[in-house]
Amino acid sequence: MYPIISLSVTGLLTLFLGFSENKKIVFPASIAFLLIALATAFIDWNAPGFYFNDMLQVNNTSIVFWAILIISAILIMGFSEGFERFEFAQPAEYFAIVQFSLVGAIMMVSFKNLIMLFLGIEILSVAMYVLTGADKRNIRGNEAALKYFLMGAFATGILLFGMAMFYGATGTFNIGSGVFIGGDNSFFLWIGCTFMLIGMLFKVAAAPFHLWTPDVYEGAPTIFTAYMSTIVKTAGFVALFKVLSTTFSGLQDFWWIMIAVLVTLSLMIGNIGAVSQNSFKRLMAYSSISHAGFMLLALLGDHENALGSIMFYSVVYTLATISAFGVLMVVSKERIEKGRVYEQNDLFKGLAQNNGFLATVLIIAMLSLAGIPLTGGFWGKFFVFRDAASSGLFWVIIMAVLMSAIAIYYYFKPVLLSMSKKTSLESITINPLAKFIFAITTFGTIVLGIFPWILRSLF
Amino acid sequence: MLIHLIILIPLAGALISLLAGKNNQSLSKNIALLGSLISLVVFIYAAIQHQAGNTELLSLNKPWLPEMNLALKFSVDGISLLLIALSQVLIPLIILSTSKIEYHKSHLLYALILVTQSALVGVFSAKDIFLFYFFFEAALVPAYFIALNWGNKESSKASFKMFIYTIFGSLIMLVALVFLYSKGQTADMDALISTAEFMPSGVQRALFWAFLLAFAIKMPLFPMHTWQPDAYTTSPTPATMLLSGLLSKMGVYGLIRIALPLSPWAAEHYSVIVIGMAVIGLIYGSIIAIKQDSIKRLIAYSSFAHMGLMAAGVFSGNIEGLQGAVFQMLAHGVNAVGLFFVAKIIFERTGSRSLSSLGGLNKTAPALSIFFMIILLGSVALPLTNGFVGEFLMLKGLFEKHQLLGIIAGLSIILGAVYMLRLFQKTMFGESNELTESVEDVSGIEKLTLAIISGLVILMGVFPNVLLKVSEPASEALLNLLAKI
Amino acid sequence: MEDWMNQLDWAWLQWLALGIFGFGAVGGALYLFFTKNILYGAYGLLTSLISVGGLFLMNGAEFLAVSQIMVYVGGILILIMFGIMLSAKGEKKEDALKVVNVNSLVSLLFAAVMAGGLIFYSVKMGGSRSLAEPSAEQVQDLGMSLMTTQVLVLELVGVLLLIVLIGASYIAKK
Repeated sequence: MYPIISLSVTGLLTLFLGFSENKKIVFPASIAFLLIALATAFIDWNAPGFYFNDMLQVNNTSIVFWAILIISAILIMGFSEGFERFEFAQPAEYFAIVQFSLVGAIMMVSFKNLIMLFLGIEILSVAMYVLTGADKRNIRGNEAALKYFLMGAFATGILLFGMAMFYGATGTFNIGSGVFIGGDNSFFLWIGCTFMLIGMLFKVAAAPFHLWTPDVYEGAPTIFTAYMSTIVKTAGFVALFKVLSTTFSGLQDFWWIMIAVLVTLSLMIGNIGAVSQNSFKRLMAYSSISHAGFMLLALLGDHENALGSIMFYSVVYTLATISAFGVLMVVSKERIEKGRVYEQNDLFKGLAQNNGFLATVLIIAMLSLAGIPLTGGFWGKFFVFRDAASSGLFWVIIMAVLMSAIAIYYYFKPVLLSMSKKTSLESITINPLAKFIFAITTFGTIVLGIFPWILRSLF
Repeated sequence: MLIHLIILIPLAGALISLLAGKNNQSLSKNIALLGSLISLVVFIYAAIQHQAGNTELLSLNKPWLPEMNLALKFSVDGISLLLIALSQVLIPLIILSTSKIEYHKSHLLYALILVTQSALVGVFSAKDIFLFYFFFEAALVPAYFIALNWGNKESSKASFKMFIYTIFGSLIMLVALVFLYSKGQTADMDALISTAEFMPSGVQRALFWAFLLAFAIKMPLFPMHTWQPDAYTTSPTPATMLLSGLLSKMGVYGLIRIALPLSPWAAEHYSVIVIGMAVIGLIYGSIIAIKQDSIKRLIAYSSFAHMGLMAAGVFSGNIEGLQGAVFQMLAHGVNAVGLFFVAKIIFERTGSRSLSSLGGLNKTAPALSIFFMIILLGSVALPLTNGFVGEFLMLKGLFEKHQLLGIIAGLSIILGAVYMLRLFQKTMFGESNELTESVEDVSGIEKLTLAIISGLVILMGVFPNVLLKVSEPASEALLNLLAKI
Repeated sequence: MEDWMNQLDWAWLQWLALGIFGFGAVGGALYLFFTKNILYGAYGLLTSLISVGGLFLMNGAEFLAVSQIMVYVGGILILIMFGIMLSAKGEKKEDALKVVNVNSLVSLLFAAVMAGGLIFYSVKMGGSRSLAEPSAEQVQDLGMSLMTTQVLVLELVGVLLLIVLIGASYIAKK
């Protein structure tokens, strides 16, 4: 509860800081604000409860997710040090939007009332529309922002329609009360369930609602691509889980097959689509679709374990994604070709020769995304496989395994390139903060790969 | 409680070598060597104690993921003990074999070799199916990166092919393991084995083929071998040694430890088919080896042929075949490392791996040719060398199981003699040419390494019973288990 | 007798108004769907939106009716009109912006299915649900609950609007 207040207030403060002469102060202040929000998150630790007439539900699980979201935001924002140099940057606005967007994300993981879910999704989405187009001179960025906005607005409409139908059928927005099929209202309930799921699956980029993903990921400034693929995804999956495991749990027979089909589609489209990509960001976009498929797999299992699996998966995915996009940001910073930042895969050619540290970070991130043991990614996949196995879905697991084998092929493209002997890179400088973030993400990936219970034992 | 030390010491060595040995090859090498030797000494002590009856030393049982019933459970029986011994002995030898050439970023190379060692010990002692899987995969990653980083462009392609193949096989195995786990609600190998016989036959069939696929790719077994010749040939020698000497043994070990006991009915049901595949591979590999011109490729095919025989031995379902396969794993590990080392020495001195351009090395490098002879005789299974015992036992076992296949497999001894002696004749005998005229003989560390390997070849050949006795109870236990079906 | 007359008049008027508004809502939407001229389309939309507002009014949701007309008719439709006027600079009528429907068959089919389902179920549910008697102080109740029980919603809508404002100024700034 407190981080919502804290972030709303500090977001306003950040806006005021923008008036000050010294723009440099905005960045450290924003990081400090995020840290404050992180600290306030733990005030409610071990004090579960409901707030504002059952609008929000706070318990240790949701606090863990708040912490994950805020820490991810801090890690990603760390890469924006030195952004003041860019002419397009309006640091105050941009940091303020980031803080407000976290308010939305936090609501998505702790809502108890569908209105809160809707507002959370909207706050996060509107922030993402703006941030996608943050680099106003980049025509691709503008295109991406417009596409994202139009499609996102449409998805929001669908979500809202679903909620209205749900309200019509049950007479409540509260997700605490389970619903059941049968009786006069089942048609509206079905429509409500389907449309709400479609709206939410759009936000987490699950196929077939993924069409925006590659273009938006490619067009957005890399730092916001990282933000989009980690925070939006984590919050989105928790929200999906909350809806499916509480109010729609009685409809399991209905949505179960829908999710199973979506898992299959996401895995196939994500992995097969990624194979032919030359742009690193597009590759990561398709990879994000396939990871959405893996995380959906967890929803098919029994609900006791699913949240833990989703949590673990999103943490390792977040760590690896931040590493990967971070390396891309650092390496591509100096490479401008045809007026655009060069972001093809062969940007990494010879990275190991040039800068062993960055190459190591990239390789470990890719190994983790591919799910190779010794990295956290392996356990992430293992847990979701286990969840799916507990409901006997072996055909989906076999499909997922085949797709994982394909995934190794494309995740190793950057790895192989970075090991290449030839290089076109000039010497790369990494600022200490970025180095620190890389150390955290890489170390975290390895530690979670060897001692997965550190996170699993949280709940 | 020493098993975790044996796993952790090489890891610690890797870390120290990585941090301290930067830009200093001899320092990083010495640290790595020291790490692996300490681990070896600890292991020898523990192994002696283990044989004396103090089995506690080499077992461990700690919760790993308690809520999911996964445990850090290690324990060893005779077969595991021998294979751990193999990895503990071969890793120092592999490290020693790298001493002549400069490797860039050598600290990384040695760290990766040591990580492989840890993972191998883990594979050979894990008693939790997911722990086994974890180490099984983890052993591949450092070996792959050695091949990638210190190989040439071809090797990056070949080793990538290897990586994809083996990961694919392992993932299929993972599905099977997850299935077993979700049925039994436990990941404990012993518990799963005790219930395996009650599994319906249809399920066992599926499990068996999933396991076989993973291990057949790893070994490799015909027809899953297509990655192997290229990967062995193009990889840098340390990676080749790791792959042929140690990693391929994980496949055979997996058959013994996972495929046979966890799908016993299907293993028995399909044994003749698998033996048939293995024998085809054996003959096919031997014939192709005869035609090879590149030394490394020849050894690679010979290695492939030997692996086929081992698989046939494992599936023969009697004590001779199984014991022979276990013994041959050790012998082949030593021999393969020795042969690849000789190939590397020849390549370093002459710059050529082509049989047609070499010759006459016995005049300029007599010591090398003697060591080469010994290792090679071990490889062609001459009596009183290590190769003989294993091959003899396996062929005997195979003959009991299936006469025709046994006879066909017996041909491989003749074929093996043909290609190996051809290898020796083309390199060592004949006229020297401009490449081989000025070759200097082996000396110093190289000589020491070769002497150790040759000594092992002869010692294992003369006193095979020492090793066979160690693994006998474990082999009998496995056969008893299978006999119940 | 007079009571009966009054009642009859009332019901008759109600049905008439319902018919007019319903026809307006559906007819406007259909006109929008089929017309090729964007300006006429906007008029169709206007008809449809006003009619929906009327339908709200008839069902006792005054607040919704007012906001429907204020937001959609007063705000969004005016924006659309401005947009059309500013962008359609052609001299001739044909140069005006053309509207093209894509996937019209699919969307019509989908709409038909949805409408069919809605009609079927609302007929089926018929009188089973009694609507709450509209309170006379509806707007006041709404305001009260927004300031008391639903205050978090109000605040967070504020945050949402703030982001929209920042974003708009951010994008519009040079």
